Amino acid sequence: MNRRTFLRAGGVSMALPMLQSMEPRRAQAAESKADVRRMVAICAPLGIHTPNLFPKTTGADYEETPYLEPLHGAGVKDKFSVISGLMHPLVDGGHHAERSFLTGAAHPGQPSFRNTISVDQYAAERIGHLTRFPFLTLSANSNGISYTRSGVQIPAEQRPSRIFKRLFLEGTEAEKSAQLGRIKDGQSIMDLVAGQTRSLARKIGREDHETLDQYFTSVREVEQRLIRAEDWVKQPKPKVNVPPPKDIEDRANFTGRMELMFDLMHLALQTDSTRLITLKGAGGNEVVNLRGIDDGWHNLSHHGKDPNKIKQLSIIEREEMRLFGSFLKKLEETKEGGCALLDKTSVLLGSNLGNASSHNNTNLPIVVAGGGFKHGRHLAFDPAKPPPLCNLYVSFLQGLGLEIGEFSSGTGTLRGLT
Amino acid sequence: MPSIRATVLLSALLASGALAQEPKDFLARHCLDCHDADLQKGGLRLDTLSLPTKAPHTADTWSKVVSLIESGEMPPAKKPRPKAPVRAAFAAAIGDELAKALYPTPGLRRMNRTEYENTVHDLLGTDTPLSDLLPEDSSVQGFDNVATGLGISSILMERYLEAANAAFEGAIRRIRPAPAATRRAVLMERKENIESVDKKKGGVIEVGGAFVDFTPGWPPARIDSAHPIEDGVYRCRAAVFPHEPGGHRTLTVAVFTGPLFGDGKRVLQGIYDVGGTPENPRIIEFTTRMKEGHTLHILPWVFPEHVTWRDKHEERPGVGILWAETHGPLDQAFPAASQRTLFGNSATLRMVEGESYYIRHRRGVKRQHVESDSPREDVERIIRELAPRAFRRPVEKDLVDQFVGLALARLDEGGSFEQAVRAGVSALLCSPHFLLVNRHPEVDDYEIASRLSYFLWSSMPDGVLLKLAAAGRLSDPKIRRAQVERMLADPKRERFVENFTGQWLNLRDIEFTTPDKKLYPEFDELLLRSMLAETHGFFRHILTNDLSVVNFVDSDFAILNQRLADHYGIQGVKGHEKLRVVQLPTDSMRGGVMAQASVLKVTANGTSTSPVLRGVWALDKLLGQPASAPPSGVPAVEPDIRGATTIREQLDKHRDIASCARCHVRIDPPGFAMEQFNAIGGEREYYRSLGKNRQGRVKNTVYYVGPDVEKGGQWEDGTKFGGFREFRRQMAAKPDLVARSLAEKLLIYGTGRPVGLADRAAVEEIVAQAKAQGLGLRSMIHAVVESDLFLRP
Repeated sequence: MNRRTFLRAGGVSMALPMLQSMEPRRAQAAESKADVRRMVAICAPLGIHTPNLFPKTTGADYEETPYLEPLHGAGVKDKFSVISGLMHPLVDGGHHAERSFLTGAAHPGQPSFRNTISVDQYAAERIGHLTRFPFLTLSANSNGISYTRSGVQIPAEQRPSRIFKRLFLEGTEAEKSAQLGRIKDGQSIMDLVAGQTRSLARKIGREDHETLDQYFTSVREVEQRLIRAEDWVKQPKPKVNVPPPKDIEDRANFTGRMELMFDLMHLALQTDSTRLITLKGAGGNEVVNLRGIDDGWHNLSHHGKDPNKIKQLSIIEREEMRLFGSFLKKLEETKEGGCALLDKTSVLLGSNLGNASSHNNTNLPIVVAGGGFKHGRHLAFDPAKPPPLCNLYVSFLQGLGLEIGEFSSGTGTLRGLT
Repeated sequence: MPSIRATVLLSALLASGALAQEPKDFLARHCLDCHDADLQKGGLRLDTLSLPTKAPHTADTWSKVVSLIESGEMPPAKKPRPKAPVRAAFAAAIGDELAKALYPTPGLRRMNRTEYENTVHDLLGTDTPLSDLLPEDSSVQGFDNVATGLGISSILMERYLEAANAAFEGAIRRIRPAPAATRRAVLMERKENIESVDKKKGGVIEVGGAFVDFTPGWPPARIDSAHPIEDGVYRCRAAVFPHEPGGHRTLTVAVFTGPLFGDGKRVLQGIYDVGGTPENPRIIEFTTRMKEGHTLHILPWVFPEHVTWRDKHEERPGVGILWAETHGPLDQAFPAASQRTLFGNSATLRMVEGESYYIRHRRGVKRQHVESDSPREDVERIIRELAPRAFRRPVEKDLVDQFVGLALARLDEGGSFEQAVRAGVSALLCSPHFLLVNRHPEVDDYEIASRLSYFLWSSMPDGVLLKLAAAGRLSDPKIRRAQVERMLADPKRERFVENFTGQWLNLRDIEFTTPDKKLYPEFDELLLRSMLAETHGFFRHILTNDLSVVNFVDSDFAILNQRLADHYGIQGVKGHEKLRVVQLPTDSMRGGVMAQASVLKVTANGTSTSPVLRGVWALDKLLGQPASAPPSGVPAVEPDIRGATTIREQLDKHRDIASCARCHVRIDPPGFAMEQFNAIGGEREYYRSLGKNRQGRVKNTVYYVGPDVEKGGQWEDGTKFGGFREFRRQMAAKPDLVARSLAEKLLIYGTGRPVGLADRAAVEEIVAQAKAQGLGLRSMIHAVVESDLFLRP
């Protein structure tokens, strides 16, 4: 049985890649700093109005659209591609499809839906051990978009101040020693619990029981992670020349909140604190405080073709694109070994909704930047014969240096990206 | 581990001879034309599908096949279709095979995060919020407590470590409480309020020595001198009276507790009708836990809303607030009661003062921690006492020794007494013996105690249940019955009411969208809260009185307050604070959950309604025949609120596509029946539109009269209905369908296992038993508890 079947079977038992990543860090010290690869995936939960995004013409000299204009304005025209005509096969259910955005798992709206691993976690199992934080799952809007092998949603961090503290602030000696104490406690607790799980399985007489299996595997993983955490506590955190951010509670201040997130993401990548970041963007019932907006964002996205609503929605989404553009620009301007950080970071901005007003999950809005891919074009696929969006994820995984030919519904790399 | 792929491919069903002849013939006659090696329509091939096995793949496929055949979606209309009894026989045969293969469906599962929080709270006597520390649970068959949906990952396990730590910390009170004191604020003695009145901020005025506020917005009614100066439980009171309420209005205030400024979480304490006079005001009173410096937000919720430019015929209605006070902390115990529960009352324990602790209004306060004069003995005693309660059953000595050993080792390494107890307690709370339910191979009395309590209380069994279990009494159905009655009379049943209805009817999504302000100007928070209270109250009323479950489809009563009654156009209900049972006239549009605003809101998107979403909702929730997912590549119907095309026109186009029609003949009837209600549950004759048109604007609003609402339709079998009421009558005439659907949901929720084709017999048994009691909801719950599915390993 190959590894794929193994994983498909629903995360039963221990999967191989994890063992690999459990090797002590020392074994992988040989990795060259020069070729560090990264990935960022952002989901806009309320969609992106595609008539304002997709150019009517394809290829390199596509005509500028209202949403691409801010990206061009940021001076990164040659560093991104806009892609139309993609979707996740069998992924439907309107807003529910958000859960499958990075996993590709079928029918997320069905009452018995079970998720699979998200692309960032798939990568984290393989390269996560190389950095202090194997991954960051962030959210400007409650839940995140990353899922573990067993389909468990990973709680997302929403407070920039907390993320900053975890990434960059050294605790006092007393705090560090308390933290070490808790890590030690955790280690012995996990050890005890692992033994109990095994004997419980024996007693029940169903040693192949999935729940107990997952329990045991999880406990072992935490043990390994605590060992690494112990290592990291002893090493100094990277120093950054930026004051700690102040959280903005007011959701209406969409610009301010997103700027904080993007700045942190940039810092985290620049300092190599992590190489894998997912972000669920903003978008709820708030009335965004931009000029010309007087209705809740979620309402505006259900525009029902009302021109006034579309007009207001466009104001918000253009701002969204402008913020994304400044983030790309920052990555472009940060150099690492003579090379732009952006060239080493594959960035995705997209949505699970192709049309937020009808809650359609086809012809998804997708923008891909950086990562050394072939850019500066409108890559148009036929929405009637869409390649799976997961093909893009295969490209991303390969961009991280992983020898992977398939991921979820993806059967190969996305045509035209390289 | 058995290779899954191998079992799938191993035996070809038709060749194996393992299935009886009739179902084989059925497949050959009705299915294989399209689902064979050559065509494999819809990606489904039935000639090589093996018999149901434990592997979810084949079982799911078989269930799907049977449900499509039973619902009549397959074989397609253009092919010869088997008669109902033939279809039923086929379903039963496959069901038997599934039952053989799947028995027993594992019930072993972890707690979900709601259950985790409740259990820790009940175990330690704390109320520290914990569920937010844990990742969201996923649902199976619509419920988040089902074994197969509750995956475990290392992320979760790390969070359990954190949550255990937070729970332990929450059980210890770190500072000695000050004596209880009353802190009172007279509003017009506070300079902020005086200034607000002087500068006419937000239009506030002074009347009869009171601060009169008109809106829930700025400026806040300041009561700073009543703020608690330390965390604790407080009795809160406020004196309010109505100002210019106008003819038929009942004024209300909503009182929240939370931080004065900022977005911090505010907790709604209640909605109160404002009565009395400045001389003899209404005194609002409630008791709650508050944090240092938190305030009472006393917010006027005025309905009908008064709009200054529009409502010139009346004075502006507002709420006068005279004073507010807090009295406490009422919980004077030190050490805290939760600490005594956890540590016991041994004379060897004492609190020791440590570093200084800053709180604004008290001086010289020191943080305290627990010390012991005989730490080894105390650590051991604490762990040994906690383990059986935490694990909900007697615990073998070997097992407890492990936890004791771990805690003592912490002492031996030089850890403090508290650190040792913390380590031991955290280990208990991370153990599979704590986190897993249904983990015992045999179903003994303790197992039954836990099953009952996780079903009806979403938590661990209480002392009474555990005592009965110890005495071996819970094997007796009579005792079980009495316990179910007791548990449903306990306030903890609210967890069942909320968790079950929240998921069964999707009420948890109630705040997912906010209705469009232009289209639905009459929507307000009072309505939102009333909607939820209505449906919870409706369920509770049916439960308490053991009324027939058919009431969920059609009832001659509703649970209303003035706000809802006004929304529904029902006369004679006064006051918003308390909902009450109201008898409905025979021709009322209301009655049953399909006509409740909460359901009509969660099945709409805030702006527009869709018969498809509502139809899918009704099929799953009330008829128990969920529709299949739409075929991929078919564009969804795009709402159009410009008033140009009607939904019926759009759907008719959709139904011309054969693959759509197959499901839409079932989805559309309930959908169109509910079309007579708008996105917030109001009855409508026409669609509201934002596009200009000849009919013109509706008076005092900014929306226009759109097309007439679509009414009526026909069931799949051709039965026609002219409107919602007729449809509802026809639906209520299918009590078995409704009862079966609800029995299935109760079984899923009650057993924490997926309920499928294999469990058909158990579901029928419950329906039969409940039928003998007039299909009463409580009778149905008793039947669930007595069913094989509930009691099997």
